[in-house]
Amino acid sequence: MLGFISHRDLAHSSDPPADSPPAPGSGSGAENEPDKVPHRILVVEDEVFVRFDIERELRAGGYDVVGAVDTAHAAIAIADQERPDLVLMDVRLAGSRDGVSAALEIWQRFQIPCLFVSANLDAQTKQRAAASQPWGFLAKPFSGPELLAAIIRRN
Amino acid sequence: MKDFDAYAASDPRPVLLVNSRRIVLAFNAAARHNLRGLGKGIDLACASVDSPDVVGLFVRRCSSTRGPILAALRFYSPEEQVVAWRCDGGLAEPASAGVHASIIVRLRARSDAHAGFLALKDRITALDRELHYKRELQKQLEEALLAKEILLSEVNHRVKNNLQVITAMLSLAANENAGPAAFHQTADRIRAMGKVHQMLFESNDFREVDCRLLLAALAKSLEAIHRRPDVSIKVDCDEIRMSADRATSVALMVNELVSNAFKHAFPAGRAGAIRVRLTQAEGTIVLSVMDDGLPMPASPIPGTGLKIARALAQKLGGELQTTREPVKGVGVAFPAG
Repeated sequence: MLGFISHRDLAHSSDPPADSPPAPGSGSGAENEPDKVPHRILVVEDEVFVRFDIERELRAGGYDVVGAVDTAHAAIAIADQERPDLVLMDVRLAGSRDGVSAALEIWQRFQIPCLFVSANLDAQTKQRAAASQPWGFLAKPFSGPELLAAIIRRN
Repeated sequence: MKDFDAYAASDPRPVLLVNSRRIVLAFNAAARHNLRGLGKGIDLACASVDSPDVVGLFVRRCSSTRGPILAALRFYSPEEQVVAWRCDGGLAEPASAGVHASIIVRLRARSDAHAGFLALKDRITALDRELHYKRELQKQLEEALLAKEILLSEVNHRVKNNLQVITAMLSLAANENAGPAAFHQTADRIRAMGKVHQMLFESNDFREVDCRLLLAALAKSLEAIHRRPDVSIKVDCDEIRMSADRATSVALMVNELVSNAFKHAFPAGRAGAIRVRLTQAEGTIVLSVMDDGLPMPASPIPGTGLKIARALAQKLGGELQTTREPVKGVGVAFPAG
């Protein structure tokens, strides 16, 4: 399932749509600007096959996957080390902490937003996640193009 | 009421057993001494000074509840004096197959105010007990409803999550450029996940899976898929139960490792056995897949199957290990909790 929308496509497009975001960031991630199109992405997902596919989809779309982990603890450690532009965060994770808890700490410490991907995006979860200034929410099951579109456009 | 005599004989107050048609079935000695004209088989209303309607209403009310129904009835004494009695009655035995309900009626002298209070107290206690019972019942029903709601939400989550997993499997297969073989592998993986859900459904509690049943079903399915009667799958599993999520990881690992063994250790013409073991000791579960097929190459090139098995082992909290001697196979130890 190849995504037809990628940040590379947008970056090199000669005639971008009127509401297209600017070209992606260089990848330092240190001085993260919320509305800048992210380039370096950390994937936090505990389902093995979903994690593998997201990694593949992102790489095919021209993104730099700085890490792919399945626990909140590992996500915070990689975020600290790599300072990605965006974290793709599942809500249910392996281990005792969930994705919302990890996202709150990542935002507080590094000001890196999360795009939440979950099969359970209820109002309570969104309310808990609000303080982490989320990039957006993407409900499972989603397709590759939907994932890439959610990364490009903050909601 | 079979044991009426034993129940009422020692009571100093009159006690009667009547049926819902007001017919006197039995009475104690105190009733015989205090009430004139009493006899088995007669209408209670005949012995009472009160009208048949009044007696009938009391009997009808008593026949609908075990709790005491209070009334005042008048009877002739042996001296032919009209004496008013405080009565409390209740159902002794409900109606059954052609037999009318029986009611027990206790009489207390009307002057005995204390006895009246006792009867009232009995009634209040009975009501309180009934209220408590109904509250307990309501609590149990509310808990059951909440459990069902949680279960429904969990099932909804699992369905959506598994659809994402299947989408991801298909997407990975499509990008492997391995042709139909990759889709056959994907079908095997989906089947392995399906076995977990089958076991979960059959377990009735929808939370934990019996690993013995799961591995037996999985082995049977893998034998059928690979169509190699000369290669058997032997399962050796302790009595282990685990959550659906962990059981899915175990099932997918077994699927990958057994498929790898079929593919690499047993080329056509090579017979043998694949042994799947799942054991638990001191808080650690060990999963291993051993075989007596061709030896493992010195530096095997890790394929997709092994990569998946490694990630699944990590998800379970362990690390995939390979052994060559004295037996050949792959295994992982992970925490039971």
